[in-house]
Amino acid sequence: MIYQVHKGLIKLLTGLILVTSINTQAAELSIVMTTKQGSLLRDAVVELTPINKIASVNPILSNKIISISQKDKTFIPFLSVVPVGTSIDFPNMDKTRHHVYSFSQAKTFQLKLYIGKPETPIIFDTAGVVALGCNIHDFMESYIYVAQGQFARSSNLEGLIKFKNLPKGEYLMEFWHPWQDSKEVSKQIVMTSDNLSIQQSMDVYEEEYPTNEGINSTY
Amino acid sequence: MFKSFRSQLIAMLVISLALIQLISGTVILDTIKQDSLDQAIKRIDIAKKVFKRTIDNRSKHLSVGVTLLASDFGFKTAVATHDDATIRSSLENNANRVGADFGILLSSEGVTINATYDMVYGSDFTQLIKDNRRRRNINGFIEVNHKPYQLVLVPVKAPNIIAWVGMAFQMGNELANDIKGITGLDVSFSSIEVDTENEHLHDNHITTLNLDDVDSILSSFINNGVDANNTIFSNDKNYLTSAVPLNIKHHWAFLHLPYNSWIQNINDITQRLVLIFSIILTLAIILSWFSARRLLKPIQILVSKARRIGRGEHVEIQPQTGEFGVLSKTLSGMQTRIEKREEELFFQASHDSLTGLKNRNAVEEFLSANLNTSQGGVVLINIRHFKDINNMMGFESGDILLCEFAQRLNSLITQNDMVARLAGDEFLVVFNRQFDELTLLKIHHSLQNEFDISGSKICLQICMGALFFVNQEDLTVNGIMRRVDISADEAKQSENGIAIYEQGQDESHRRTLSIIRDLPSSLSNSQLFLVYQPKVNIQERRCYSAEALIRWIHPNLGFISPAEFIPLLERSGNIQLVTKWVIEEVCKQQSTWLIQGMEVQVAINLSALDLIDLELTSFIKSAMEKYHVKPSQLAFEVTESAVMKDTKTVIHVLNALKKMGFKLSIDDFGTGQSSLAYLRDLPVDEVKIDRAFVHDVESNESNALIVNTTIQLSHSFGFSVTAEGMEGVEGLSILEGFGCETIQGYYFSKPLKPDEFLNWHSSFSYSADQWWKESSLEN
Repeated sequence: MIYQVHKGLIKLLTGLILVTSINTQAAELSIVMTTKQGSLLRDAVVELTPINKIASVNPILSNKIISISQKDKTFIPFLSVVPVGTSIDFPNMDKTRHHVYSFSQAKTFQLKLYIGKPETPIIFDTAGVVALGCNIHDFMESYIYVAQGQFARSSNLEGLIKFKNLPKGEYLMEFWHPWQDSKEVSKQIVMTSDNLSIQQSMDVYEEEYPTNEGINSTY
Repeated sequence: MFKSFRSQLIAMLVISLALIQLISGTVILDTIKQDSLDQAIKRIDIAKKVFKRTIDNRSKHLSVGVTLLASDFGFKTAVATHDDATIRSSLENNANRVGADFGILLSSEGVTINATYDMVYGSDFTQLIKDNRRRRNINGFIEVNHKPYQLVLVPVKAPNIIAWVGMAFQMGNELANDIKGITGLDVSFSSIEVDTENEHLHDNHITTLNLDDVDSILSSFINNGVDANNTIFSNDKNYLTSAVPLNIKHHWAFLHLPYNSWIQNINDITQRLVLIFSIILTLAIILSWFSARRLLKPIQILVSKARRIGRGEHVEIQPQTGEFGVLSKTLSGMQTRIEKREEELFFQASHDSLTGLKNRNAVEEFLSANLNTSQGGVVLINIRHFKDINNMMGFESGDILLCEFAQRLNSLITQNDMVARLAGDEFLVVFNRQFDELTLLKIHHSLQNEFDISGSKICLQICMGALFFVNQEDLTVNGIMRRVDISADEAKQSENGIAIYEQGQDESHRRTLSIIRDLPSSLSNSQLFLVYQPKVNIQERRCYSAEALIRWIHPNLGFISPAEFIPLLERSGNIQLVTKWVIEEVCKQQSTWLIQGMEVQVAINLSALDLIDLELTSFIKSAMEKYHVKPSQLAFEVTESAVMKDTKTVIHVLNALKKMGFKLSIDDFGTGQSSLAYLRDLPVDEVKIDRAFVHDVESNESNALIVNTTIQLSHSFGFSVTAEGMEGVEGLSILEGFGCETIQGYYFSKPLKPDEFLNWHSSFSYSADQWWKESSLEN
């Protein structure tokens, strides 16, 4: 037991050394997301969870405030990946009122019929997926992926996700997509000082985005 | 029925027309049937589309309501918060509003969360959701409690799918009636399942039809192999049915097109066609009847003419045109040729081909036509020895001679008379006028004059038999020919070569003929029989022997004397037949008598012809062996005249008989011209003195002398003597006195039949002396 603690301490120390020496030893993980049919997949979320790392047990709460705006009856962006504890603003750019709500377990809330910016941002303090809708405009749709740790990214229009300066070690890699047909099985990867490239496919159904305007430009 | 050309022509026309009509009618009807079926199927196809459209419309209508519910924020909230009471009341409320049979809430995976109809919990929707895992509305069919329902499922989005809310309509009578109202077709909803034994079962009918009708329609649908592409008729053809699968296992919608009005329509057309065709056929028969009559008239005229020609009539044939012209010309030519040929045939049939004279047929016909005349008569002329002339001169010259002869004969008669050649050298002249012997002599003389045949002078010997019709009774052609034949026969025998038929010749000739003809048959059917006349030995007063005599009772002619038929038989050569018969009969009788205990020697008469028959002895031998007869039981008698004919052979045969142990006698002694010296050489034992000398021996002294002398002479040659024909007791003592050994005569007995003879013989052997007593009494 003592030995284990000791060993863990050594690992933490070497991790710290690694983090500090990022500039010289940049290990990059790039993942290309595709559908099962082979086309590039955007808005796929990959979360890496370091295995056996004490550091991840107490994540540092983010103080950053991001916003999901409503413009042209569309949530922008469509998908947001945030760490636990992130506060999100919902500014309304349209002239109509919106009624943003969520029945998701990770965060249930309503912002009833407002114009402009609500008074306080909403803090997402539980990891999980939050589906956002508008009671007035049924077609409006947005997703927030509240990640447990700091290693969570979503794929861009080319289906590419990049983790830069990823510390060495073993990771549990999990996948999620708003339109996934079935949940993809998690994987374990080992990061060394070398760059790593992975291709991952997901079983998703084809669906049109609520509207193409705005989303594409922002992304 | 169709023998005549006309009826055949009509029949052919009518049959071909009927055939054409039948074929075209069948084709027309077939086309109409096919057409109406195609139309019906088209109608069903349209109805199918209408049906699908109706279903679609319903689901759209339903969708609107359900979508409204699904997007209601309150409802969403209730679903998200699992507020079951709210959900249920919402569902009920909404179902009522859209008129659905039940409302339902499913989880995003398709597990039933809530429903207004409890039976729904028995149904599984996960597959339905899985198959349609999209964010859109699901329009489909489900089976709940074995009934089909039309179902609309709408996702409840928040905004991700958190549940599915649905409303369902039963595929029931209401829908069926709706669709019937639109399409005019009857509608059924049924399930068809395959059970464990691979049998199709159908159930759950919802129908606008009679249930029984649907049952039978479904059965035939199953039999045709459950397939939406099939269009089938009901058994009574009242409905045409097509099926639409309902996207739920086993459930089908059926569209029934009432087809009986279509069938009625086809039947109407069929009837009309039959009527039209019948009228056309009738008209065709009438028309062809008249036109055939007109066409065939020339032929019928020719046919009737040909018939008359066939009957032998002479017919005028008018020339006609075309093919009938050829026919009529041919027919008239044929008529002339037939007439010509007939003439030739007639000539040949009635004329002799060599001489050109009439032949036998013609003359017989002529005679039968002229039988009534008592005038005239016929003369049959023969050329004697014509065969020799033919042999000598050759047949060619013979033929020339016959022609010359015929010519001369023809020149000797008048036109009313007729001359014919009957056969080779036989000619017949028929006189239709009075003629006499002088005429015959003239003809005879003229024909005997010499003929000049290619340089050779030939004189012919002619014999002519004539028959005058005068005083002839029951003249027939046969009778005339027979009688003139008789007289011609006679002419051949006569010196001058001319004979005239005398009354009665024909009758005796016929009797002779029938005697000769009937004899062979008389032998077998016992018209001939034997009688026996005792020969009494007067010295011993015993009867040791008898003579067998033949008797004939003819069925028509009655009793015929042997004196009449024996010479005829000798002449015809049948006598040997009779002799053999007699020998066999006697042998048979002897064997019978021997059994009956009488032993007597029977003498058989042999004719001259028998005596030159060298086979006679062997025949006698075989007959004796057959009946076990000893030679001492038989004796043979031969007439004096018979011996005289061929002495050498006769003596040879007699010697042979003698050697066999038979007693031989000379019969009828004294009637022939034989000399006594001649007797000496004959191997005989006995002389029989003819009855002509014996029958009056007691009164005729010269006969008595002859008898006495003959007896003495015979004795001196060593012959015993039998006197024939002693009739009175007076002669007995005289003949005894002459030393005669045996007497055969009516005094003792007439010839007797075998049984009578047996009786006589036994009575005579007991009381022989009485015969002499009577004589002494009379003395």
